[in-house]
Amino acid sequence: MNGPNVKDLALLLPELILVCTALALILAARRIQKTPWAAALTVLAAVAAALASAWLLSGGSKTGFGGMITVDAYSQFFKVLIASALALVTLLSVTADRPSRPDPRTHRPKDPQTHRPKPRPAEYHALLLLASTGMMFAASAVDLLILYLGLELATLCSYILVGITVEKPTSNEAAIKYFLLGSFASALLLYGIALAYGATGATDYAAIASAFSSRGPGSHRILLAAIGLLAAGLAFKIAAFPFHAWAPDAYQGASTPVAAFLATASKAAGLAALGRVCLVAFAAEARVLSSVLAGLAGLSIIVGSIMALSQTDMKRLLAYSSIAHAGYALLGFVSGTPEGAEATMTYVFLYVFMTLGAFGVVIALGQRGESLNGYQGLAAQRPGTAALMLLFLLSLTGIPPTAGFTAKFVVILSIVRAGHLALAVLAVVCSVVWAFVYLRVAVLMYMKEPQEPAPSYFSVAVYTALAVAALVTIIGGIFPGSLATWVVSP
Amino acid sequence: MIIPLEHVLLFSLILFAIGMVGVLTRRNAIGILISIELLLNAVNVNLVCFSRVSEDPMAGQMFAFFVIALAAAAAAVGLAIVVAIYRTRNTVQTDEIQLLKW
Repeated sequence: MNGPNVKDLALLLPELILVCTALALILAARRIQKTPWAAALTVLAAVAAALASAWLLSGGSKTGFGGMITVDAYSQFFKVLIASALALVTLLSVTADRPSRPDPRTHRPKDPQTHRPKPRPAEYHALLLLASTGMMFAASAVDLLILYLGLELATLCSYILVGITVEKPTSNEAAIKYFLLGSFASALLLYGIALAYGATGATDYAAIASAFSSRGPGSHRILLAAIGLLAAGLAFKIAAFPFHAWAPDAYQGASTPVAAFLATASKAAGLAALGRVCLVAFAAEARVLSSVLAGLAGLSIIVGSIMALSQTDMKRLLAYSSIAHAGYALLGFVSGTPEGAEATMTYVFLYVFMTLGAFGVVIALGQRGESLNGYQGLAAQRPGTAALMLLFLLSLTGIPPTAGFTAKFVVILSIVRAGHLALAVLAVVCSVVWAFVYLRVAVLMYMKEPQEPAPSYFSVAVYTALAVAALVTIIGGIFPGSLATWVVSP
Repeated sequence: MIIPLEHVLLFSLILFAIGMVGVLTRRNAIGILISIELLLNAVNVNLVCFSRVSEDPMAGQMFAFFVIALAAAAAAVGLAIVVAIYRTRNTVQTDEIQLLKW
């Protein structure tokens, strides 16, 4: 193991861009009062980080910082994805933080001193940037220490983002629930890391893997506990079944762009970290891991689908959708092969764009978009918006020729190849349940009379984000092969 | 006198169990926060104790420092959220905080 080298900093170029922008925003926070400025800076930084990630890849795979950070196709794929999600979420939040009126039913001001707080665009964007930085670190971590630091940076910023509208009681409640469950999950993850360190004597993935293979599989009970605890901690980050309870509350209570950020970037980072832990560090225990992951995936799909049936709140519906989709994405890792990981990567990529699109429409409709009844008669009032929503809903269901079909096809193919036929059948059956859930919204949009006045037109930034999401959703469906050039095994 | 490894591990496991029970049974947000600190300290005890027998002793000790630092950061964020919720709801009892359901 060689010591840190100044040249290694170049490997962190995308992260450095994001951190520097975030620090600049924090330093200038008092001067930045207008959202568009902060948003423009953030989008620029995100695009620069995405380009830097892609550019770094051209030099081949490298590791740095004494074997703690790696730059390879797998990490850079997720970094580009996280940066794109950050850019789109920033564009979507341009209209969302217009001065919000506190909910008259629940808001009881206790202290006459507390006025409505000023909008704080700089802090909001700085937190988004820092959270993305943490996620990027988690994607490139090859040491449990960096994995933990990256995930903690991301979740600590996310807690604040969920609770950033301090005057809204639902936002506070969402933040405290997310925080308490999140800290608990982090503690489980850490205990798993400590056990893995005790059993193998190392925290970097390569050393853990070699310690495993020299012992032979299943020889150590402590390692099984470590795997279970690590899987539990990471399942929280992607909101998979036993640790999904926070997601609907957090999404409903948070402002919609923050919910979109949690559903996409945060999930991509969690899957990136989980994938590398499973396929590199604990590759020797593939049999145990594959049954744990299959259980998590299957139960997430079932629970997400069943709970979604009775939702009346659009953001909660999308939260259960994200839980089920986390299950679908996990299916790729069940096989434990590089091909399976590629399937998951394709799934996550397409999922991020179609989910951002659906959240984008919710944001565009404002208060009206948050409850299912708000979609009644939308097609008559705003045919374009309704068509976009229909596109994203069809894609989330997995109906060809949208991206969602490609995504579901590759993961289900990968588990069929791995021999988990029951799981494949379950995945397909639950897709039918989802068709019912999503098409209910479509029926409301196209076959009901409008109940509310037409929503106002929305800003150019939201249009841009929706256009990008729609483009990827369509292209991903028509040219399913186009991702394969990007996707390389970890 | 050197304390045997098993004793330290058992101590850490008991500490973790106490923290776990606290997280699951406490109703006060601050109480849950303190129980989570117990969990993290159990992890630290584990890391430092394993570092004595590991080939790479620095890794565990360094990890424990990072855990302590991040626990402080998490406590700051958590207390800020608790203060915010007390301002709007006048309570920090988790069973009374239930605007969001199912």
